[in-house]
Amino acid sequence: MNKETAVKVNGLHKIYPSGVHAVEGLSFNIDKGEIYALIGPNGAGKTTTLRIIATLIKPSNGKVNIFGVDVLDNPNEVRKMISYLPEEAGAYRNLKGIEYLKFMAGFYSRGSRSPEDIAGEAAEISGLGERLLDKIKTYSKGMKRRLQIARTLAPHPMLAILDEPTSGLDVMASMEIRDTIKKYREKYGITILLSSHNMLEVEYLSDRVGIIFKGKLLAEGAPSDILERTGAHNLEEAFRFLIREVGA
Amino acid sequence: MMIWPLVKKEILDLLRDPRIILGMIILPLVMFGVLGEVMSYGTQQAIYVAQPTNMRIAVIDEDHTNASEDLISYLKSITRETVILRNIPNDPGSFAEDNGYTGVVVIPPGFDYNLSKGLPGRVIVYTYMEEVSIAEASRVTSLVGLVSGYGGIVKSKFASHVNVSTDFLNSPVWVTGIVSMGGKHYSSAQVNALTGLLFSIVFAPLIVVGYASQIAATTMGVEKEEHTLEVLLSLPLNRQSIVVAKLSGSIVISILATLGLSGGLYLYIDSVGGLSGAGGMPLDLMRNVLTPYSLATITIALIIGVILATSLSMLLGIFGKDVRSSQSMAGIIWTLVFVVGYGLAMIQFSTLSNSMKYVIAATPLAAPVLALKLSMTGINEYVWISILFHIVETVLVLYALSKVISSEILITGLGLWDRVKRVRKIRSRRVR
Repeated sequence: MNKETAVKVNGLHKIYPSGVHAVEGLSFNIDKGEIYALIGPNGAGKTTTLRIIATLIKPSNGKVNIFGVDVLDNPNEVRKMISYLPEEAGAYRNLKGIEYLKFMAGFYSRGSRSPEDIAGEAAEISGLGERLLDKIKTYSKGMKRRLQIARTLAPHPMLAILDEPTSGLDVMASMEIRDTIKKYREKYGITILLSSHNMLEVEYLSDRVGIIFKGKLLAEGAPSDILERTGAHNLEEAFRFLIREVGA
Repeated sequence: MMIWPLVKKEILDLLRDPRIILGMIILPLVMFGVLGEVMSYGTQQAIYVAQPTNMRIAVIDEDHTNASEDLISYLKSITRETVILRNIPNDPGSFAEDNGYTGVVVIPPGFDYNLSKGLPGRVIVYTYMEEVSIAEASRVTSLVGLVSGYGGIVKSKFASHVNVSTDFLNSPVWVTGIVSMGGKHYSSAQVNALTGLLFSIVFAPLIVVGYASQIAATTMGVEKEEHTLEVLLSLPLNRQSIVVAKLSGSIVISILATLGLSGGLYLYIDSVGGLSGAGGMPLDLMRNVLTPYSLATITIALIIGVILATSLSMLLGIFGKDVRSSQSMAGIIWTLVFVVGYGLAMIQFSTLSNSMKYVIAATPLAAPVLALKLSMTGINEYVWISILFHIVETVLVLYALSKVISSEILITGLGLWDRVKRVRKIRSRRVR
């Protein structure tokens, strides 16, 4: 049985006004309910790709479809299906944590789920307890990140785009977040596209991985397939091998 | 469009910022209130020291004539105390200060002789200033005025001698200034008081417009600096909703600032106006001059001015990378605000050619100042033309704003400097 395609990226190019060619002919597909990780060094084009999929910037060339909807033709429809967590995501410092979650929930409430339901679930994911009644400006970096993860996952989006989801979190918090991400995929069938520098995290979370370098896809497949193909013991070694192979 | 949650967030976020509460609401209220009270206190002090019944004077009579004694009697009759000294102290001013006198009056020899010959009688008044203040300056002026007042007595004696009235000697031609404004009549003194007042409050709407532009310009800068913009732009809402919500938030805060400023100005005018001697309290005069129609026009002009300023500032502020650069973009609006304010305060609008009047009416942010300026003489069609121009300009700016916010410029920037560098690089390669 053919799986439904959640994300279809075809021949994607992005040239910034500065002239930087950030993405050069990138193509990949993500199935519905899949966790797909983009890995690559700094400046490889991961964040640019995620921003295009999240409708923040426009592709210079190529096509991106989210559940059959083109990001260029109908960005408003795409935004209804996605929830995006940028690498450096801030929250309004003068709002209380719970106010922020309610504010965000208001945009995703549909059908039987009220903003209060979504905000309540987000409060649970965040694990911030009573601290949600404090203003966000009093939060640590880790607390802010947990708040962001919570507001991204709680609406049960069709596609969650997570740029470095555990960035700035300690080991325990990172593990909790990884478990939450997995749980949400299993429970609600959310498709997840993430980028990460943490190979351990990628190996643990992802069904498939796309390794990109200088805006091009070097390899793609399940982590075990990539390890087998490159003869590496872990994704870090595989990553190094592939980079050397292209002569970098 | 899901605007209300966004508007609520904007207002909540802005209102919880202590800098905004302090700078836009509390500060103007306290500043103008305190300024009014201080001016009122200073003026009351000036009035107190200027009262002849509070003055203590030392007099040295070197003329020893009937006229000099007559002058001394006059001084004794109106001051609290007039003391006769025999010799002039070395430094009469310091002597007065050290001995608690308001001043030392010296009547030199020849005073009576001059008067009898129809020449001005000379009197020297020595006084001092402890510091530069309204009260001290007032004491100096009042003392000189007090002694000069004796001239009135001399005048009336002369008038009876030549059989004419003192009023004739004071002013052979009487001029009564009656000014017609907006179908009502005022004395020239009232008009002067009102003009002074209007010139001082003409900047109040400009301050409000300036504040509004400052908030609007930085609203996107704050989103960029605090990394909230990417999340906001990825939310399932129309980008135009973001513009509308941000403008609404800025306008609500500006209205609060207007209330703060108006309250402060009211206190100021009330404190200072209570001391006005220019034919009535300025507030009463204002109430008399400003009809409900002109007040409504001023309010409409101010609201449209604020909306135009906030839209324009937001458009400029979008290109800032952070709060600081957005603020510097808003500086352009501040400059415009003050150029328009000063310019319109200085020029005489009614004498301009029609084409020039249209140019001024079309100048962004001119409408509120024009409405206030022309409110004294009756709102004319140019105020409404200006308001219409402002509406058209606002629509154009909002259209540009919606285009920019729907583009990726917010994230990528214009990259103008990078483009220049690229062109330079290509040129240098060609030269090689």
